[in-house]
Amino acid sequence: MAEELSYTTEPAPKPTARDELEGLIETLSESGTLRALQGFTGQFAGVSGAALEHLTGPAGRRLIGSVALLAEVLSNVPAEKLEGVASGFGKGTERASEMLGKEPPGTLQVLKLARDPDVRRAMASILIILKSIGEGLGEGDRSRGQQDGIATSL
Amino acid sequence: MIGEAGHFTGAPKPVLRKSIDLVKYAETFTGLGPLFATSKAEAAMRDETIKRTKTVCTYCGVGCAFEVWTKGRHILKVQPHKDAPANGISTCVKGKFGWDFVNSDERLVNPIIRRDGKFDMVEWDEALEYTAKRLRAIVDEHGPDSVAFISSSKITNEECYLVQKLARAVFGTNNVDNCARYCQSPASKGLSRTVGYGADAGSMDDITKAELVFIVGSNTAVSHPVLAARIKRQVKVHGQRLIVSDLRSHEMADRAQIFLQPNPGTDLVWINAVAKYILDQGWEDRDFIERRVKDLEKYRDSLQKFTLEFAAARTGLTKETLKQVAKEIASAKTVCGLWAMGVTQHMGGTDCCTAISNLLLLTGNFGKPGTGAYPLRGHNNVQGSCDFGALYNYLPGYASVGSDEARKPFEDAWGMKLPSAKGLNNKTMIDAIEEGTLKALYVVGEELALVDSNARRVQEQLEKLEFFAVQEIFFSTTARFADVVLPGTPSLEKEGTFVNTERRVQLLNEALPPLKGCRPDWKILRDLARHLGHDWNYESPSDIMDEVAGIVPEFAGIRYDRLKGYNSLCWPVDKDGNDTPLLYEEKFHTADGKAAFFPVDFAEPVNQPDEEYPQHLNNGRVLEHFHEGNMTFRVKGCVEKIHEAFVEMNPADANEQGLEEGDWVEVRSPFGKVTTQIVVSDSLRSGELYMPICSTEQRVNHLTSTKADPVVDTPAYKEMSASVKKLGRRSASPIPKSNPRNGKPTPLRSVRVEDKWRRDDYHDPETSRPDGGNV
Repeated sequence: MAEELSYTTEPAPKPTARDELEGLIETLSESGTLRALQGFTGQFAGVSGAALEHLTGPAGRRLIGSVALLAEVLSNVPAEKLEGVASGFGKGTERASEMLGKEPPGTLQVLKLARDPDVRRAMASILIILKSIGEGLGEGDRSRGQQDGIATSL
Repeated sequence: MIGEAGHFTGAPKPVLRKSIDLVKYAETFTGLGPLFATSKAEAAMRDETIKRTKTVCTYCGVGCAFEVWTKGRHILKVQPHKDAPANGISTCVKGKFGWDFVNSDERLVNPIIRRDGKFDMVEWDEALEYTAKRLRAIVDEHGPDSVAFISSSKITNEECYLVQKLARAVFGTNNVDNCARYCQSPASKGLSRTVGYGADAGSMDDITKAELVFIVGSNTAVSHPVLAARIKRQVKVHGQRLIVSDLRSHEMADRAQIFLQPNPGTDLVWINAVAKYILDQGWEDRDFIERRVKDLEKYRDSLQKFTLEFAAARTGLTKETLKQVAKEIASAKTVCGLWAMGVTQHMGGTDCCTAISNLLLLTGNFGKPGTGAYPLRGHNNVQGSCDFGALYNYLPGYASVGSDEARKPFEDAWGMKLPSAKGLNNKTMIDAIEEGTLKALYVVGEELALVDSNARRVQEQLEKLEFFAVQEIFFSTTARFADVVLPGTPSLEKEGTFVNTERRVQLLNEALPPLKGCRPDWKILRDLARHLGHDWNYESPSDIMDEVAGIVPEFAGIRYDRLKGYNSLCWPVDKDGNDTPLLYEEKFHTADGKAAFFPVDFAEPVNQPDEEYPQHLNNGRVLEHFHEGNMTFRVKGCVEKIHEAFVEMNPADANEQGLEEGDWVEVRSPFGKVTTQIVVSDSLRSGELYMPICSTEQRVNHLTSTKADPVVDTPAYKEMSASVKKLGRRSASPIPKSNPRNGKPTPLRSVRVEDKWRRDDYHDPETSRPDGGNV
């Protein structure tokens, strides 16, 4: 005799983070990434030493400084304002490359080009930017002069 | 799928929204190129993490094949493919979305054993050893026929083969059956009586090719939706003629040129009357009959009583309608006859199937494209369960257990003598428990405690078993009576083959690994045989298929390498792999190659309405749920569409009894009662009720009887009377507003794109397809 009985099933365990991690390890291994990583970590001291040697040299320092400065400048400039300049620069580079291997334009041709309103607008922009750079450089001088002055007065 | 497929789509909403805004902002400067490149890179990453597996649907007998996309255990989507032989790019709502049950928290994940009035979780070895020991002890004490096995229409052919092999080769009994007993066994018998094979005579392509299709007792649009879609298209676009006979006016009836609504249980009467009228008019296909069919005169004599007058009086159809049907069937060049449970689940089910086959023979509609008899198989692998021998009277390939010659190849292959006496079937097993001769039962994936008729009686008998083992994916109602329950796996977690309604063998591949703690059913059966001392050394399902192919001529050429991708084979398949989508082109599957008319008479239905139970009670499926609902009631989307069974009633009857939609009622029959809600529907006539067989609680089989077709023991589910009593409370309709039944279809012949192309203001696009913005 087997009378009717109830039973509550226990839910199957859900996949855990560990299961996913195992899956990731499998994938990394199959793709060869794990081997490459193994090579890298095995040679970590050598690889990192070589990298640091380059980065701590004069060229590396300049690179780090310039990238940081550029990033700071770009983060202060709204992208919309850069768009026209960047787009024009791209197009201009393309057109300029068409002149490679050709005779340079004569003085009259250059003057004629300078009468073009777009060229004049670009030149004005460049001059304004140059002016701003000059002001920046001047501020640097003034600031250095003040520092020198303070030092002198001390 | 939503939030699960992409690497970033699962991000919390605020993060996702800000990310989208950021991309939109960046796009104005970067253009689409880099974004598309990023998207392509992400798609490539998806390819790496999403697995696409070709499988075969686990629901109805159409046998839709498609890819299932998974990521870990997430089932992302079902993607049909144009090369799928039965369905092409189509699926139904269940095949497309009905897969939540696979990852249900209610899945069984440990074997359990009944001990001291409760179930204990145990390890596999203990469960199998316990099962083997108990079964062996019972056989030692009471003999091999004291145990019986019920296979499943949900498991694979290979697994069905192992179930019957376990019964026959390990225990020495033919007590093995499957759920075809509840549905299409009458069709198998009706067809084997007349044309040979108990299976569809052709393929779905033949059904679509036919000039005329008649459907009897099948709501195809609900039970076999993808096949129905093909028929509806042929009718709508290509002028196929359609005749439908059913108690209810459903979608197929709406689309038919002739809709017959006979009195319940009288299909045989109109079919025989139509046959007689065709003969009387001399419209039969004489050439075909002379060449290929025997016993015409016996058949003609048997039809004498089926005059138009008799048929009209008994069926309620008019004589003119019957004449019209006869003319349509006789004059069509090619005819296919389709039927389902509305025909088979009657006392005269086998005879009615025989009558349909006789009518098709009379009009020459076998053995040529666009013709044939098509009992529509209800489950994905009910055809295969029978083909691979889970039958009390047949070994695999329909080799009779009583024939020494038929048994010999199996005895040679398995190295033993096999029993020759017919065993017990699903119905007689329950009777044998009641009589005390059947002591142990082993059931694989069959919810017989709910789907057998007069379910309460079945449950009472299950309680009497000395030992009861159940292989299941859920703790089903049947499992509540078990001594041991072994957790199997659903179709997505295994490899194997299914046979669909058109005898098409298709391969399903493992889309997900078995849930931890579960085993594919073939492994459970193999391991149990090993615990019983039999060295079953199958390493994969293909090993099993290779064994079958070596024994059964009909399956000789079935090999997994021939079933790769969307390839399929319709049996019989010869050694070279040539299959047979259309049967009987040259000869019928009989000793002399000729078909035979098999005279059948009409038997009055039982359990007819009377004063106490004044209404006829019909039952069947709904689109959103499958069968009793053990799978689809665990699918959120399906439950949102229909959350529980109900009883449909004609508006006039509802009005007379003061009932409105959503009213709670008690439905009572001579065999039980259920409490459910009313759905008012004009698809039924006055005096008739309809209940879906799917339910979580209110089971229609608490109302059905033990009466069964005397030829094949299929219960007469459709012959029942009932009364309805108002309970005085009302809830919202069980069919929510979001259910498609409440939609307003706007039928169109097609999208009529040609009309657009013909317009003066229409111009062809410059490019044939979008180019992605030149990126």
